[in-house]
Amino acid sequence: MKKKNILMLTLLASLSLPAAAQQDSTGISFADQVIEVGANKDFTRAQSTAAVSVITNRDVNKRSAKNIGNSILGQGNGLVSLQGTGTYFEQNPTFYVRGLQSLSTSTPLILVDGVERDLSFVSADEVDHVSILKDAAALALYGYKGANGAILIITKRGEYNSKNIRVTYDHLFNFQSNRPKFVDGATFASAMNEAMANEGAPARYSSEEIAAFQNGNYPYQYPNVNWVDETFRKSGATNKIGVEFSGGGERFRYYTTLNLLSDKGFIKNFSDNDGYSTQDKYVRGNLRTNLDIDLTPTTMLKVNMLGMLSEMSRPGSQADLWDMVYSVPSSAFPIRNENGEWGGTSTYSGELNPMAQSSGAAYYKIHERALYADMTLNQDLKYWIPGLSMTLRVGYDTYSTLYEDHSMTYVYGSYPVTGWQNGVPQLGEYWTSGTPGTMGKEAATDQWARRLIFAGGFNFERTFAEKHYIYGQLKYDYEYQNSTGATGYTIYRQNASFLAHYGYDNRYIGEVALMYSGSNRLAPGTKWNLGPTVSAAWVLSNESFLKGCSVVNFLKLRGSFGIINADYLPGDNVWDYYVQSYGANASYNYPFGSGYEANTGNAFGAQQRGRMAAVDPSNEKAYKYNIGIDATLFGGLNVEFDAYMQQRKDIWVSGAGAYSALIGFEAPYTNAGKVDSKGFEFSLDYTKTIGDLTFNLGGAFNYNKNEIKDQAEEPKAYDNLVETGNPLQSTYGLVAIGLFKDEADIANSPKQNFSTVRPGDIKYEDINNDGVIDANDKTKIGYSAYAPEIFYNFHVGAEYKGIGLNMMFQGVGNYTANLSAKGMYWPLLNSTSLSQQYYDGRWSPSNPDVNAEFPRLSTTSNANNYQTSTYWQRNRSFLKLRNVEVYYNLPDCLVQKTGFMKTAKVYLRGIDLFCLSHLDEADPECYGVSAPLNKSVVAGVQLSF
Amino acid sequence: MKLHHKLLSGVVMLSLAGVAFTACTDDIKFGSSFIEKAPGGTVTLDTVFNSAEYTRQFLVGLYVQQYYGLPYKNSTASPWSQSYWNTKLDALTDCYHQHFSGSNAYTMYYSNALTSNDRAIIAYNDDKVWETVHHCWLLIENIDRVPGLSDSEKKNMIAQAKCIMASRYFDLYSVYGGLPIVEHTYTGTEGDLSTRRATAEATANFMVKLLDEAIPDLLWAYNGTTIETDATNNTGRWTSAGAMALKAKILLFNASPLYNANQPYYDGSTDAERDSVVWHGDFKQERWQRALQACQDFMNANDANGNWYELNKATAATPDAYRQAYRMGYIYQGSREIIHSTRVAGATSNKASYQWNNFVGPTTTETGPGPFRHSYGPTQEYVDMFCWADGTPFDWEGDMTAGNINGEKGKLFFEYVKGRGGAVQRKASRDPRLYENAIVNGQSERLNWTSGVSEGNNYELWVGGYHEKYQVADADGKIVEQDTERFPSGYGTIKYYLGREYQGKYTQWVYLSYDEMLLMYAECLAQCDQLNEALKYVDEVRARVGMKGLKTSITKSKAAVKPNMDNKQDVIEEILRERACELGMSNNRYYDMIRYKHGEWMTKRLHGLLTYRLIQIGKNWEHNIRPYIGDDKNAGVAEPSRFEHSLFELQNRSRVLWDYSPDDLEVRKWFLFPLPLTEINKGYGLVQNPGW
Repeated sequence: MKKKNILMLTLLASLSLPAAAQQDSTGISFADQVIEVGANKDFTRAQSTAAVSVITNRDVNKRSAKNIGNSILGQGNGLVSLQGTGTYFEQNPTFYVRGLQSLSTSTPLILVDGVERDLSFVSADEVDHVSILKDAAALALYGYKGANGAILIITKRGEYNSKNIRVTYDHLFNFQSNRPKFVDGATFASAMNEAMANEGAPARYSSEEIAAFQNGNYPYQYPNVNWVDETFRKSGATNKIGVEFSGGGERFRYYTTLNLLSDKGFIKNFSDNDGYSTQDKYVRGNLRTNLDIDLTPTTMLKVNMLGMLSEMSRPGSQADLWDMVYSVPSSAFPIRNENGEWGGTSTYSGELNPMAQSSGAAYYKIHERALYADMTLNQDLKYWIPGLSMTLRVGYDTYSTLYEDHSMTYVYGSYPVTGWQNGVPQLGEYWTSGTPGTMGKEAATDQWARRLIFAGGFNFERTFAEKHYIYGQLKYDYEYQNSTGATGYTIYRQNASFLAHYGYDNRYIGEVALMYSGSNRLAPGTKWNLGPTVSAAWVLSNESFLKGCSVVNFLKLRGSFGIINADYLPGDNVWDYYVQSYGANASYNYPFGSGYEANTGNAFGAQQRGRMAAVDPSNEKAYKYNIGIDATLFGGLNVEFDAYMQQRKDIWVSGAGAYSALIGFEAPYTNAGKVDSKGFEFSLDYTKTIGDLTFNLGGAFNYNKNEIKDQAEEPKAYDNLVETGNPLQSTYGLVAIGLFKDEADIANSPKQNFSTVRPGDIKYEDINNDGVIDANDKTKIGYSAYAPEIFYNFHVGAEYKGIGLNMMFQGVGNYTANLSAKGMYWPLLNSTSLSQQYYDGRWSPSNPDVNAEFPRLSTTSNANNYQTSTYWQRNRSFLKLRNVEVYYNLPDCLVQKTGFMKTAKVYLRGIDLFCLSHLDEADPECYGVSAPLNKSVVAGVQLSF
Repeated sequence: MKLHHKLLSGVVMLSLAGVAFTACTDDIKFGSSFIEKAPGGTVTLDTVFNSAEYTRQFLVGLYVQQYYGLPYKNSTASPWSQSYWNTKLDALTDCYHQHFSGSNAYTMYYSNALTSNDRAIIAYNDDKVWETVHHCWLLIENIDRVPGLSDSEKKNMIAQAKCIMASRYFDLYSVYGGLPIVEHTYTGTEGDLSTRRATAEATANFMVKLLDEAIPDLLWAYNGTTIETDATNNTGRWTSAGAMALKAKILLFNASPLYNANQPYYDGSTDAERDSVVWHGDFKQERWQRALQACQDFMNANDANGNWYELNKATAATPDAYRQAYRMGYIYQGSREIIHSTRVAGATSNKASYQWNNFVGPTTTETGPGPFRHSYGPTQEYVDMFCWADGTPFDWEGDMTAGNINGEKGKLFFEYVKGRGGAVQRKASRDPRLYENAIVNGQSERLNWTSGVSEGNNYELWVGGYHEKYQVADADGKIVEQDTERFPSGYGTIKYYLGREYQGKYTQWVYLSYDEMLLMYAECLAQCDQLNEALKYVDEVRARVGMKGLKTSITKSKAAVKPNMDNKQDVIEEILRERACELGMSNNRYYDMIRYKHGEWMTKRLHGLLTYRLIQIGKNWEHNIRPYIGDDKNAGVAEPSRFEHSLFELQNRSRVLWDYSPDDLEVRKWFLFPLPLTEINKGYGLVQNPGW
């Protein structure tokens, strides 16, 4: 009893709770959660030695999102998910498992039902749960692909002797958050004059012209167009409908879903043309069938099939309308000029006219089609050898896109002002450009990918003397991957693997995995590598001293170590790094001869020696160490804690830093890269029911830190330029120390060599103390702008008599933003717009504040100011309300009166409604020139029959 | 049981059949052969050297990597010397001032901001030198096994490779000093590549050895009648004349005071000086004798070969004809004055988007537009080096006093003779080479390509003039000296540009030429105290453009201080001046500056010319800041013939070194460029040049 008391005090002493609600919504307790690690046998959490977190069915579909990737945004423990931007069709998050890990790539392996697959068109409806595979024990069986962790998506399956039909309908009202605000025409013109004055040049606009912008008397010559509001409407809409059939008989189970998605974007003038719309649209249909067939009492067949068709349509020429909005100032040209043609001038081309591009350029379509199919056969061989079974698997995926280009060109023009007379602008000859076009008809295959997998092996599972549980498997698998862009470079991999799992009395568990992997990406002699992993777990809660303890319901300690090999290619996908190549360079003509015009003479394509073949090539390896705890306490508090360490070795890097220039040809790639990373994850989830009230709260906190130990870095002239020793993808730049006050300030400061410096320009610190400010003064100024070091989320939920509320918040820390969006932060008035925020916060001769938020205005790109520096750096930490839901489960008595309905639920959701950050006018996840992120309000209903 | 087995085997067969079909046309392989890389068109060393044709192409590849001195590429890729973001060595001398603000002349050199972390103009490891050396050895080491090449062709190809290698060594030797000597290919797997820099002398000897080995196996000139030996197909290849001329140039450099002196150029405290990599450690007259011998050997061999190389002579004794002779001597690809030229493909208009001609001049009309990224404005100091047309030295102050510059008889560039009805006759008043090295006020836009006669409008380089507009000064007379314009110093670049009529022509870079050979010979003779003999060769060069001998001309001069042509130092300085006039834009002025440790050329303040067009109003002559071309010309106004000239100090941008004493170590460090620090830090034994 004493021990238990100590434990209780150490953990959460003040709570004493009944041992009731330790189950998730599907009724599976934390300890009984299925942990899939790629073996033919799935262990429960109580049995597993691996560090795996699960996003359960309760959480995978709360965002009414386009796909499962967007649906789990912010969720999970150990998963870093960063929102993608762009049009609806293109929005896909970036994932990292345990943050940045390597100089080569940190992209995790993404698996759908155990096969490496793209998740971008898997709907959240068809997903049962998502596992995050983190340590060596969890990743061992994925061979060369597992080094960066894995995200495993498991789709739904039917149940024996049941029948269920479920219909879900969601309607989303979408809004764009943080649309940029640009200054009006008159302000732009005076800002231009100010910029010209800053540069010692005469004003560009006369006071008459500025007045004309102001009063709008000559709207065609002196327009004032709010391009954002003219081009984009306030809201878009998405409709999602899903029908699921699941169930089974005695020897047969099925799950089938038909899922339809339709999104309409933000184009305001989409219906100006007869016969077609120029709206941003995306329509998708998924049809999935998962079958489990008991062919015989000992033969099981599992078939998964997903067919997908989608169609995307956007305004013609794939115009990037948001880019145009950031480029074209409100004073540039009118939407249409006097004669009805689109506006455009010789300065601002009419091809930048967002209105013309969004309604006058017809449309462009992309069709996607995909088939994911796999079949697994399991044959129990117990009649031959008790405990023995055999598994065979084959899968074939295909994916392709086609485009249809129906774009159309258009004519634009304007009457230029040649001068003013008597207060009236004088118009010159009509200027026009562009060609009148007809709609294009081109269509072709764009991208394709295909994959074949095959696996087969024997499994052995038995318990001896009631206490000795043994599972072992021997497996061979291979895969074939072929896609556009890599023609002739098909990837082949194969693995022979051995896994042995031993459990003693459900208390002491040990596991060994040996993975012998081969890949055609590696150099001859290095193609095959052995990756061993060992792991162990101790289930304390099954020890007699904790048996029956009401505080500790489940407690397990785990540890693992393993070497995970990787077959990443060096450089930009360089396959022949181990071959000393010689190549003909066709551009290497030499014009011998005595004549002027002759390009004849002896012109040859010359032969040149290519990059040096890598010396003693090897492959990247991850040494992964992990210790962790899984526990359920007080009957409802699920705890996961993991601390990890990883050493990446033999990462491919350029060897140029180590080779003398004297060798006379390009230095080879070398396996010299080393990166260490470490961190921890901690998650809590507590559920309790008191009478009719059930509430749930929890969260996860992840900290991932890394350090480049070696990257064969070229010797650097100054210490501040050295990147080795810093975290991966840190931000490097200059350190700004305010703005220049006046010419005297400039004269008294070290010389800045980027461009001629004027008052109001950014002043930098002389980091290397050489008296000059140049690229040699760059240093590490911030965290990575690619992945945060801290990622956390927390959720609360409660349900009372069928009415429920839940909310999920997510935040990041140690994350850097480097502002550079044109027009917004880096206006160069000759070619971009000017944001209100910049205008209001700028340094100007009348507001010579050396600490102004933005430097002086410039007409062209200001090489001095537009350097990456602390001036443009912002703390990118944020906290977002990812999703909030209010729902009502109609009372059973009411629903069942219908006679055919089983349950009915109505709900309202809010997606990404709220954000706390350090950026005033932009979203911390989207501050560049791109479509703003969406906020959505969802109304939904779910009925089951 | 049986049923199970049937089912099982059926499914297995199905799976395997699936495997076989789904992989389509590719063979399915198991085991290790499964993971072979898909076959690709990999070329290996054997592919190259098993074919005579590929081997010949390989040699062409070596030619491609030669130094080409006209930056023409919008690229920062290697070779760095070909990028217009870099600058030319000439822009660091007193002859030219670069006015393109995007160039390194601005950001690194004039601002004295270059460090060992930056790429110098000819970059130690970014100019393809070591790549070329490697590929030359690769050819030499492998050519024995090439089938289908005769022994003589093999020898000839080896000799060409050795010349290329020597020339690339010289390109670095002339701006860095002693270099590591690479005598074979590296595989990269040597492990220890600790190759130290050889002494300057050993580096020179290494180059000379390569050339000596090559000379017997080369043709004197490509003047034969077969496709292998004719000029049409082969001009540009290395010849024994080229090898001998390069040898002379190397030995001349080796004998020059930079290396050959009793005192090092820096303070003597640095490793580079102690190791004799930037200084021989002593002065030896024999070094000059050796250089002289190399020049004599060249002359004798040329004599023995029917004097194939010669100065391009004028067809008439007119200024235009002299210009044409000088121009065709260096620009004509078949010129017999050129001993070795280097070329780049695509260096002509319409065949590549960026090239020399387009960046010097305007691209569509005579006044614009143009990016003007080669704004190498000739300086007043350079223009003053050119004598009067008869050979008499020019002297700004003396000639100003004498009324030769301003006033009624002013004839700075042209003598204007008014005829009946106001018609004006012009006669070039200066050394004809001036008009081929700087565009001056009043010279014609074109010298006819074939006839060699001046034609077209005159360049109007006065304030407000048609061509110059307000590039030098604004309408109020304030000096503005606009950058990235064509005439910021009051003069324009013409060498290798010629005019818009040259657009579309292949522009070669003259690597070695006969006039340079004559002047090198003269310099060696002077250094060996044979002054009169030396002047003979200088005068030969002057005579080609119709100028009298140096001694005679100087005697005629009325200048207060005159060089003494019986004094060795004075003769040598005059030879250097003559070299500047004859060999403009050829790097030679830069080489002369460092060879003779002329720090005063770096610290001397440089000037431009401010010109005003004058018109007579009543009795007074007043400034007229209007162009002539256009309204005035159309109205039949007489051609402007009277101008007012004055000098201004170049200020955009001024050079930081102008504030230094020529003896300051901050100036003297510039005699050699810094080696890249990153390369030194790799620790294979490079020592840094003094002062960097």
